[in-house]
Amino acid sequence: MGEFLQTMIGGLTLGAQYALMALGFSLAFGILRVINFAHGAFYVVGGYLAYWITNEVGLPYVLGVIVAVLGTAAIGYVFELFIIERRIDDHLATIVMTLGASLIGGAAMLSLFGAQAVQFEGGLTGTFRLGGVFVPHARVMIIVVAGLAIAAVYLLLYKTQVGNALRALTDDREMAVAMGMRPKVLFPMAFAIATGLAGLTGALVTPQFSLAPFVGEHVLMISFLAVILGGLGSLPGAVIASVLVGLVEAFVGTYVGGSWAPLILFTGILVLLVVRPSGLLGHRTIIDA
Amino acid sequence: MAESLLTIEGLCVRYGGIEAVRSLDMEVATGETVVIVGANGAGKSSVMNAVMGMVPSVEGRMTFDGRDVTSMPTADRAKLGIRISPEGRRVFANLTIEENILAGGYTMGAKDREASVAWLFDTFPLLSKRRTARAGTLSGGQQQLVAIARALTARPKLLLLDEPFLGLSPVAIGDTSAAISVVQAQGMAVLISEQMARPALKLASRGYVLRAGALRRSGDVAEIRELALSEDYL
Repeated sequence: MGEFLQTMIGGLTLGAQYALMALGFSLAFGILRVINFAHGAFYVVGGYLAYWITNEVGLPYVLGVIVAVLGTAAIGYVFELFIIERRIDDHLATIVMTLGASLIGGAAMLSLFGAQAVQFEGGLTGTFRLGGVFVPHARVMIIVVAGLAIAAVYLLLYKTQVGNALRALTDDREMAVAMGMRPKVLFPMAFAIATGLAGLTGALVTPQFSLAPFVGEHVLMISFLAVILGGLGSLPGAVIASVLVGLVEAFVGTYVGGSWAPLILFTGILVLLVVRPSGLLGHRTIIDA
Repeated sequence: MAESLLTIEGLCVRYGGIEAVRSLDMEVATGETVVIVGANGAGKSSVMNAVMGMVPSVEGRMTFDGRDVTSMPTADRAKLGIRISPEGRRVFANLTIEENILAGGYTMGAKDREASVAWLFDTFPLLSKRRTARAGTLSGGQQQLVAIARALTARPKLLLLDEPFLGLSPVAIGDTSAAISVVQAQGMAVLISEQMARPALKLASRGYVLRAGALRRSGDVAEIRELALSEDYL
């Protein structure tokens, strides 16, 4: 029972991490039609920003998280406005641009903080007892903050006029523009929200896992898979699939063996996509999109 | 004739090497309803899209409400008071009926938008009943009403209706015609394109006949009907 609970909490923490990442990735794809290969780099930059504020400047961790979110959102905003926006409809160009940004982000962190993983301290410490196991506060915090961030994105998209416009742009960009919506205003904003979510994830998670210049790639790949599994463009699908992926990873790790987790996970996703090419909640396939 | 709202002079639209519209002159007066009749591929949609700014006009001049809009971006034309109900309706499929109508009022202040939405639901009880239904799940006729309502939220000066009757049942054609009459009663100018011109001719006062991208004839609806009948357009 104890082991089950521990695995459950571990899986939910992973799932929350993937969900936040996948949500941002899915937003950028859905609204801008840009596959953001730099999404993992924003996670890393968010992690380092929080690390820098907390461990090098010496301010409280909460401030580190806030700076990470605002910093990555600002970088995302500028990157979209001045670089992506110029070639927004050229999918190959945006892939190359975001790949380039990803390499630059990693290389910048490498020069500033070195190749070694840094020891990120100052996040939440301590544990509490639940059903006979010790649960770290930090894990609960990750799950709660991720839940709140997802709720905030939901409220923005479904309860505000800007959110309505963003969803209209997702459905039919040309018609949305014909209603007076301006991609040049709304796209940088949407991209900033997406990269800010990646920065938030990095700031929350890297004190628990590891922080090195290229750790974002693994997280990006898993989130990308979750996005496809959930149904490309479906935000609820991305979140649900991310939690599933986190749970599968944790449970396979505990009950089958850690090294089996990726194999079982990726095979499972492949089989599922053969059976249901549009993903769990998707209504379009990767090819239509 | 009343004051001219939209004036098109020498419009040319090209896709790659193909000339979709050739040196077209056209005019719509304030509050007037004008029909563009033509067979499939005659260039009707190209004219509509060029007025909205969704395809560039390679030659010619276009003025709207006293301003040169020839090279004005689409969103700015929308702000000036042009709205389109496009060919194939193109409602926002994942948005509800209400959200579609709200999206049409994106350029308005919150208060005006709410008032406009209330008026539209009042005018189209069919939409009001299903306001929380996703637009993608509706029938073609219902989607056409959503597309028209969405184009009306911002109370445009000029409404472009690109083949609003295409593929609709007789009942839905009746509903759509009724909706267009509501627009006319509001004093908005309407430019309708149609292959099947009969319902559109009942609504319009003047018309243009296009063939292979060029203007073949223009005149009042009686003349257009005569010409169209003689050439098997109807």
